[in-house]
Amino acid sequence: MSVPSNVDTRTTVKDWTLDKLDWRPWLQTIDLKNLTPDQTSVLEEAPGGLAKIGTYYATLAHDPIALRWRTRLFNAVMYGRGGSPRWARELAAVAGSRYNGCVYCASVHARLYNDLTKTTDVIQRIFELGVEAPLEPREKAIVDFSVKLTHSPDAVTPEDIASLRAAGFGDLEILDIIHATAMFAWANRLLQTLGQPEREKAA
Amino acid sequence: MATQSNGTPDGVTTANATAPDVINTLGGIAADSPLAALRTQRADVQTYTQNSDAALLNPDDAGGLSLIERHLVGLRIGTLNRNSAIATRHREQLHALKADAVIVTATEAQGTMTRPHRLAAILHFTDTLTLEPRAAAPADIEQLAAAGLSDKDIVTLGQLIAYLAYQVRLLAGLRSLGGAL
Repeated sequence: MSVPSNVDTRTTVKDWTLDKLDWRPWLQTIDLKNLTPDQTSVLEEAPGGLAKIGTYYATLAHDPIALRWRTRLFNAVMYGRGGSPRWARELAAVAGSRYNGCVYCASVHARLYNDLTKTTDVIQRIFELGVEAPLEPREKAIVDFSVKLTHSPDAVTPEDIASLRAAGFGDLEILDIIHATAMFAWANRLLQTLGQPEREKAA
Repeated sequence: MATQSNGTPDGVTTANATAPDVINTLGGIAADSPLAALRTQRADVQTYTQNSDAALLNPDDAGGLSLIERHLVGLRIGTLNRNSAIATRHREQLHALKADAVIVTATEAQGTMTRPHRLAAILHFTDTLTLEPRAAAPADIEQLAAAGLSDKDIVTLGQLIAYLAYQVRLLAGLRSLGGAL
């Protein structure tokens, strides 16, 4: 029996998950058949290029100049060579997203963290217990710092930097962790306020 | 996603290509300080932050979201975050743009604004995204559309508010790191 086309088979996702989710915008996406030159050039920089534009880029491309610099900034922050190991940046991203309630961001970056570290227990604890979850000192230092910078930026002090140093992170590594945390203050707000995470309803 | 090389920005022009670094200015970071030197190790992050700032706060074409509206949003976010450098920047810009002083004062005073209707919707969205992003709902977008904002204007507004959330945390992190160098 086929499903009538007017039945919505999608459901909003509110649980913390490693699943690959979809994202449904709350406003119209751009018309991919009628791109301006600026839209074409920025979408060519998107993951997968013009051939695989997701709903997120097709929404943000309403303002292609802002999207261009945000995309390049994101890549520089998360993938720039040297400095902090990538897993530390991904953990900062997950911690901020978990605190802010961004299920979509958390799912993407938790998968990346698990792939990079070949672990699952850190993410599992953060998903189940929240940002207060007990963790090893190195991971705990990143989560604590990221969460504090996320919720009370004006309360962060040099003592919080000292905690990262005590966990073994150097100056450039700490700068990278600051950048990643700040970047997800940005990313969370776009994903959470212009649309919602979805998946297919269970059969 | 492939790792992207970000050595130098390309030839795309921005309004503020030669302007002083906005983060160093707002953070009171001296050019010869250890923190400024550390930041240059992430020159691409510095450049793209600067270009994002210019794209959202000094665009070549402001389109449907006026410069005054953008700086009112900035003033509101500076105030909500108790960041006087950010608030001062936007207050000065609003003065230079000859914005209505009553509106500027009301924006800075926080609290719920009911009119003008369009600005009230913009500031309501600003407050939600800044303080409680998880509380955003489709009704907030509908409210902006009803107040006359196009889809493009709404995306630009969302990017502006979210960029300023980034800026606030970048500045706070740098202030603490600078105090520990």
